[in-house]
Amino acid sequence: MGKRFNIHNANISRFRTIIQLFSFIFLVWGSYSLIYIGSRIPVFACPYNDGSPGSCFLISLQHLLHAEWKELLSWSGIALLTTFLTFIFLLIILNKAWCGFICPFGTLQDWLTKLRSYLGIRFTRLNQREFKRLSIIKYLFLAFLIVTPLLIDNSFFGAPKVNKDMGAPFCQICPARCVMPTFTGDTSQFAFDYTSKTKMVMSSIGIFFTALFLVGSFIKKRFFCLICPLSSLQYFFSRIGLLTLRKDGTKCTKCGNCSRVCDIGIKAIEEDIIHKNAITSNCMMCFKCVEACPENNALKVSFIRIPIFRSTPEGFFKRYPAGTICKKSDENEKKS
Amino acid sequence: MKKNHNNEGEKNIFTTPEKSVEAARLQMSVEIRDALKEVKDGLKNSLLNLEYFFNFFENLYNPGHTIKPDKKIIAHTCLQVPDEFIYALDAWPVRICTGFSSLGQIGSNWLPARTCPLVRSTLGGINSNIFPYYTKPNLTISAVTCDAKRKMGELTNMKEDEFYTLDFPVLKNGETTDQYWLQSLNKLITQLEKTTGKKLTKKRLKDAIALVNSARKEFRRLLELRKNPKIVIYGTHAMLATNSWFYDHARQWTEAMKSVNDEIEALIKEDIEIVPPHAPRLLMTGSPSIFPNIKSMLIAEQSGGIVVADEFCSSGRLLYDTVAVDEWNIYDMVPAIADRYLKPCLCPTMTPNDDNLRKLEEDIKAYKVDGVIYQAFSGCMPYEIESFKVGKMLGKLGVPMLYLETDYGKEDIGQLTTRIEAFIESIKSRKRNLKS
Repeated sequence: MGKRFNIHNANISRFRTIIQLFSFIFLVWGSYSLIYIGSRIPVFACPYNDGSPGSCFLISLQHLLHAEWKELLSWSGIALLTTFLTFIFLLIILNKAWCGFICPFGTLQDWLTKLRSYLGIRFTRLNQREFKRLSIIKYLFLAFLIVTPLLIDNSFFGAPKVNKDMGAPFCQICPARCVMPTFTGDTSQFAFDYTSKTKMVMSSIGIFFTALFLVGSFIKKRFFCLICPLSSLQYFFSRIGLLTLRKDGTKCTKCGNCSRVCDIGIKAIEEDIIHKNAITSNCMMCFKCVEACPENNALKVSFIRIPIFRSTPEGFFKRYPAGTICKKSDENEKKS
Repeated sequence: MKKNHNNEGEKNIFTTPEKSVEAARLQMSVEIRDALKEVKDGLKNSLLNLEYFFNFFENLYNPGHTIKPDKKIIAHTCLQVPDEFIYALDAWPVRICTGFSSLGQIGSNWLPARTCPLVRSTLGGINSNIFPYYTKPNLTISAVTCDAKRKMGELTNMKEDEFYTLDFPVLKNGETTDQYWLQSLNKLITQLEKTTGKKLTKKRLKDAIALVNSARKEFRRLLELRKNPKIVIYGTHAMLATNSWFYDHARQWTEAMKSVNDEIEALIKEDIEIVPPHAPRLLMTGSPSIFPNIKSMLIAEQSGGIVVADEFCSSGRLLYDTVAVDEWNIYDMVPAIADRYLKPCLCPTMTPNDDNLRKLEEDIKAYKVDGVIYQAFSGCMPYEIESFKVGKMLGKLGVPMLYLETDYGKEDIGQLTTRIEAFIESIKSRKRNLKS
């Protein structure tokens, strides 16, 4: 019991920062150590970056969907299926914690947040209406990146086919394509692509989104995660994830600590006292809410039903400073 | 929001004559002595470390108080006024709500007799210049929670810059309310900065949060220890100890509370109990008991019950909720404090207030409560109204509830004793029947 209990009182944010740093180094410069981890990674391991040891699942999905119907329904459809199954397999293990712990693009946003906080510049909090509206965008992006590649080779109800240059359409407008390669010294992605009209438009949208990303995530914590299509795709399978975040509504006092520290700004974690599953479409499973909850067992993180981290008042007062007196007495206890 | 007292004559109608003040002082000293005597002698086996709190109350209205504040005093009348801001501005927060029957009589000069005794006695104290530590506060903040408190500000003899009415929302409906409350608090900070002449800085506010959080940590430890099946502290004693938070400095209070907790822990380890194990475990809720008005809880414990928990805004709720901050800058600390003082608020003046019922239900489970005593001061509308819902919820749970309508006076002690004794007897026989 003793050892377990200490885990619940631990500072998981510090642990997360370390994991994030390592996974960032690995996913940005990993290929230089001749490692390849496949092309179904459920995070933004951007293949446009030479240093990336693998590639983001979204680009594989877009490439595989760039095919004719008969091709997709034949044996080559198997490739799509296995890709998808591998993705789901990886996803199930860590669930959305891929976003909170592994994703280098998310880490980058956290670092921008740290910089802003250090400079003492205040952040913006979205109101519920803005939040809901922005949350829809990621589903639109997802639909866009699934449907567009299909339209290149197939015609829907006799409508004209989409230009071939629209291959991997989301990547063309994704800010990660511009930002991630800069870490290996490649700034070429910032250039406008003049090869065709389509490419010109798409690359300028991409640069616009990059600017939006940099500004947005500077003033709003984890801004891009709100509109990330990968996050919405992950959410479809989060219910079968092995890592779960559950809430016991009867223990909740609605004090709002959880939603206050939430980087995304999810209000449901505080307001919803009925549903047990606390993971919402925007959640990135960083578990900051569990850290900030002062009620015993109100929030619980489990892996295959084994609780690995839960909210405790002791842990809360350890993480949030509880005055000089207690520090002194703690020291005395250690001495004696 | 501000009163218009332009001429001296108008102010005088709110000042108690010197003679009545003297009489009130005498009566108060009797009330203090009686209450402490009952608490110390009426309840046997008191903890040793509680002596600090008893002495504290003995000296509180004494001109030569031993721990007199050397800082500016900011008085307030509600637990929804953030202490953190006051500590951060290097002042001493004192909650001036009182439980003196004698001051209540003075307060009746300006308020109708049917008004809640708490507000009457608080107003009586203000207008007779009787304050804890014998020191007039530099600023008095009154949060407009219930109707009586809302109008109280208009009836004081304080000058405009001495009295501040704090806007407090009545709805708990999310964003709009939160924003409203935050703006109200921002205005309060400006006023506090003006009064204290200090500026709210990042470091000071962080230290203040840590200071109050440390008190909350000790308080929660006390609650956790009281959940133990072995009872070593009387509810009245625990309530008094917590109640002293109103007036004491956070650092001293935390130190004293820590020693009490350590003593409780040691006694539990030694398998000591102060009441028989089958004593009915009671929970008290409703209008707040404030020293020296502790009669209903005292009677309950002297009649063989044991109050294991209370949901009073003068003790059980006082220090329960916590402040969690994400970024330790002013821009996040202030909203975090604002959230703590609004969102988990269980005051019946707020609506919707179903959280109150959920909390009670959880408490009943956690403390293994056998019965609930609901105290409502006559004239305390919000608690009188709320009693219906609480009663219904408890009926569903199968937990008996005793509804008491009481006052600060001593006239109803006989009647209260009969009712509470009967209630406790019925719980006892019920427990016996359940066992057999």
